[in-house]
Amino acid sequence: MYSYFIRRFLLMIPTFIGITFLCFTVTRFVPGGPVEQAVLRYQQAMSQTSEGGGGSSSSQTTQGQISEEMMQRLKEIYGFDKPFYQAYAKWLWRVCHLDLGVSDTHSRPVWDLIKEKFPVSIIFGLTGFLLSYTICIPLGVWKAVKHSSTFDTASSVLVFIGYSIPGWTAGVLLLMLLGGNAYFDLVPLGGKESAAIQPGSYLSQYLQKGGVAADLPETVRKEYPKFKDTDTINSNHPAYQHIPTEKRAQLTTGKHDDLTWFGRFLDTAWHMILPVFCYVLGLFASHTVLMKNSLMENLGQDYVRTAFAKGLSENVVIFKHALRNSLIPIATGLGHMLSIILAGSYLIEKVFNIHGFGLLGYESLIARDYPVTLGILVIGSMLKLFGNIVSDFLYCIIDPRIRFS
Amino acid sequence: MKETYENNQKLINTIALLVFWAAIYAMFPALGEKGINPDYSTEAAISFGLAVGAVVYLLPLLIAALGSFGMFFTSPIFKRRWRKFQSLKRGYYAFILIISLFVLSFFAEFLINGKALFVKYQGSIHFTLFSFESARSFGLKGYGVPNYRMMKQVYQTRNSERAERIKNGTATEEDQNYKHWGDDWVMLPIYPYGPLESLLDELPCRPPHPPTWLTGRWRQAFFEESLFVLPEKQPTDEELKTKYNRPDWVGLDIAKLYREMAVAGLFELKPGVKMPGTFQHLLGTDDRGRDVFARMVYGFRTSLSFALVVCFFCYVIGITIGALLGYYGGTFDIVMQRFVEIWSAMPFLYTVMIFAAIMIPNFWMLVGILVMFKWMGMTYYIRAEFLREKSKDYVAAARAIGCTDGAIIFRHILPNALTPVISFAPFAVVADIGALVSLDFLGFGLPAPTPSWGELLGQGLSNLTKPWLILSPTLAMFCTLLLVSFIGEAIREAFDPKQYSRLR
Repeated sequence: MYSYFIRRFLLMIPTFIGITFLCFTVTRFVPGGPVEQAVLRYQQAMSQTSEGGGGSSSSQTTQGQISEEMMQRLKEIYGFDKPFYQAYAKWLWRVCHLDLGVSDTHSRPVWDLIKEKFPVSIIFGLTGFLLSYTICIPLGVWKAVKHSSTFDTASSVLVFIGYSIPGWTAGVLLLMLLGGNAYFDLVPLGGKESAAIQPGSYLSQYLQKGGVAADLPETVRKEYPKFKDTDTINSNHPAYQHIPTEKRAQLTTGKHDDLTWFGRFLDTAWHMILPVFCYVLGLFASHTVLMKNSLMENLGQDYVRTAFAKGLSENVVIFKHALRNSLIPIATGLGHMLSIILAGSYLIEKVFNIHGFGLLGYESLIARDYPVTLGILVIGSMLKLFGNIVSDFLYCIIDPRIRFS
Repeated sequence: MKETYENNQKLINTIALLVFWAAIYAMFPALGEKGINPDYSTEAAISFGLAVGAVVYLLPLLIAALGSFGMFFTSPIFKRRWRKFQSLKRGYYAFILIISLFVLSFFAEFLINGKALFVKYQGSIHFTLFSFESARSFGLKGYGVPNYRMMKQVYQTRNSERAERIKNGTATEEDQNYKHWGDDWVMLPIYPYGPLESLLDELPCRPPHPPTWLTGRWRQAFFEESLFVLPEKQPTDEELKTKYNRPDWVGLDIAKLYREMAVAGLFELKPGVKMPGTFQHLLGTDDRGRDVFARMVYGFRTSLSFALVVCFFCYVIGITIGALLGYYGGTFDIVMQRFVEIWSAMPFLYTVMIFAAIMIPNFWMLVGILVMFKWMGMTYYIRAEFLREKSKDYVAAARAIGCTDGAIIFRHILPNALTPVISFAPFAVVADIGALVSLDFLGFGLPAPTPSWGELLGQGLSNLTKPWLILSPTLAMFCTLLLVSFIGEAIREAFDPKQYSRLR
C-alpha cells in the first residue's frame, strides 16, 4: 500500500520533467519569441525617435539595426544564449528551488504574480465547485430514486441542456442578456469587484464614512504622495484620523475598498453570481449523471436485496446502505478539485474579465511571456499530479475493498 | 499480416502503384518539362521511403482493421443493436438529421456562396464556382474576381438597353451578334453571400449589421449614421397627437423624438441609401461586414469535420496501442502504461493552448495537436477489452489452428472489442467540438478568416449590444451538441445496456 504511494510520488518526477521539457522545447524553437519581440520593439522605438529627431542620427540607428554584441546581450537577458537542453536544466534547477524566474512583461517575479492571482481563481472556482456538489448530489439521488418518473424525465432535460451548452458559452449569453447592454441590467459586466460606485447605485448606502485627500493637513499629506486632491479616504485608512472632524462625512462615491464589510460582501457576491453559475453549469450534467448511475448500480446489488429482505424500510436502505457506497466515485473527484477549477478558469475568467490565474495564463500566452507561461504550467501540472494521488488516496480511505499493489 | 497481404495482394499492389505515382507527381511538379529537379531529391527520397513504408506496413494493417470493423458491422449482434437503436426514436432521428445536415453542408458552395454557379456571356456558358475568372473576361472593369451580384444587375440593365436599341433600330454590330447568342445571364446560388467576403461596400452603415428582418434595428442604425432626411421643422405637440396618434411623444427633447420617429419608420431615407431586402442577411453581419449566416453554415461543416477527424485519429492511435498493450502484456504493457499515465497528467487545455498559441496552426496541425494530447482515453477501454477477450476459448482455438498474432488481433479479438469505441464516439465528438470552439474563442484555434463559431462568440463578447453575434453561434452550438448527445444516449442504450434491476 505505502509502497504504491511512494512509487506514485516517484513517478511524479519523470511526469513533471516530461511535461515541462515538451513545453519548454516548443517555446524555444518557434519563431516570434521574446528575443525577436524585443528586437522588434527596439526597432520600432528607434524608427520613431529618428523620425522625431529629423534624421540627424547616424545611418546605423535610423535603420534600427542591432549589433552582434547587442543581440548577444539580449539573448543572455532572455536566457536564449545557451542550447536548449542546458537552458532547460538551468530552468529546472531554479524551479526546484522554487524560483520561477521573472516575468518579461510585468517585470516581477512569476511566483509573486501567481500568488497574487491564485486566491481570486480559487474563491470563484471553489464556490462553484462546492455549489455544484450540493446541487448535483441531491438531484442525482432523487433522480435515481424516482427513476423513469416524470421528475426524472423533466430533470433529464436540464441535464441534456447542461451537457450541450458549455459553461463559458452560457456566460457570454447571460452577460449579453443580463449585463445591461442589450436587455436587462441585473449583473455587472465582469471583474471581481466594483471599480467605481455611483451615487445612485444601491451599493452607495453601504459606503463608509470618509473624507477627501485635499482636507488632509500638509504634513500628513506628504507621507502619502500618491494621493490626488480628489481621492477619497475611508475610515480604515491610517490617514483618516488626521482629517479634521468637521470635514468627515458619509461618502457618496468610492471604490470597493470604501464599502463596509457587509457592502464588500454584497459587492463580491454580486460579481460572483454569473461566473459561479458558469462553473456550476460546466460540472452540473456530468456530476448529476455520475451520481444517478452510481446509485442505480448500487440499488441493483445483492446487499440491497438482502437489506430489503431483512425488512428494512426503503429510506434506510437507500440512504444508509446504498447511498454511502454510491458516493465513492463522487468523493474521489474531490481530489481533482483544483485542477478542474483551473481548467475551467482559462475560459470563464476570460469571459468575465476576472484577473485570476487563468487570465494570467492567457495573457502571458498572448504576450509570449514564457516565464509566466511555464510557471503556470508548472503549477497546473503539479496540482493535477497531486490531484491524481489524492484521489487514489481518498479511494483507499473511503473504500476498504480497494487495495493498490 | 502476411496472409492479409496475400489475400489482398492485387488491391495492395494497385494502391502501392497509385501512392508511388502520387508521390512522384507531388515531388516533381516539373517532371514533364525539365526532368527531375535536383532541389527536390532529399524530399523525394524521404517521401518515397514513407510511401514504401506505408504500403508495406500500414496498408495491410489498415485493411485488416477495416476488415474487423466490417465484421463488427455485419455481425448479427450489431444488427440487433442497430434495430434497438432505430427503435429509440429521439436518438435515431437526431442521427439522421445530423448526418443529412453534415452531408448537405458539403454542398454548401452550391447553396451559399458569393460566387455565381454559371455565367452566360456572349453566347458561351462558364462554370465559375471553383475557378478564378477575371472580371474583364466577362465584360466588366478590373482584373480581380468580379462581384457576381453586381454583375447580375449590370447584365440586366445591359440586356434591357440592348432590347431598347434593337427596337429603335439603332443596334450596333455587337447587338446583332446577341441575336443568335441570346441574352447574358448570371445564375447565383440561393443565398448569394460567401463566408469570407466583406460586404462593407454593398451595405450602408457600419458593421456589425443587424439581421435584415429586424427593421427597427436597421432604422436605428440609419438614424445613428444620420442617413434619414429629417423634417424641416419639429412637429408640434398637436401634430404628434392628431397626425401621428402618439401622445406619449409629447414633451420629448428633439433628439429623442426624432429617434423615436425614425425607428417608427416615419422618415424617408436619403437618396442613394437603400434598405436591404427582408431576407437578404438572415443573421446580419459580423464586425468585418461578413454574412453571419454563411459563416455559421461553413462553421458547422468545419466544426463537425474537425471533431470527426480528431475522433478518428484518436481512435486509430488509441485502438492500436490499447490492443497491443492488452494482447502482448508483460514489460511492454507496464512501460507503455506508465507512459500513457504520464502523458495524460498534462493539463490538457493549457498545453493545447501553449502549442496552438506558439505554432499558429492550420486545420491539420490543430488536429495533430489535439490528437497528441487526447488519444489516451481510448487505450484504457481497448486494453481492458483485450485483456478480457484474450483468455477466452475462441482465442485459444485460433492460436491452436496456427493463426498469426495479427490475425488473432484483427480478425478475432478486435471485432469483439469495438463496443466501447462505438458507444463513446458521440461524446468524444461533443468534447472535440467544445474544444475547437473554446480554442477559437480564445484566438488560438484555426487561422483568421476561417469561419468558426468560437471566433464569432469572441466578437460577440466585445460587442455585447449586438445580440445576433452571440445568439447565433450559441444556439447553433447548443442544437448541434444536443443532437449529438441524443445520439450518444441512444447508442449507449442500444450497445451498452445496463439493465438496472430494481426492487421497487
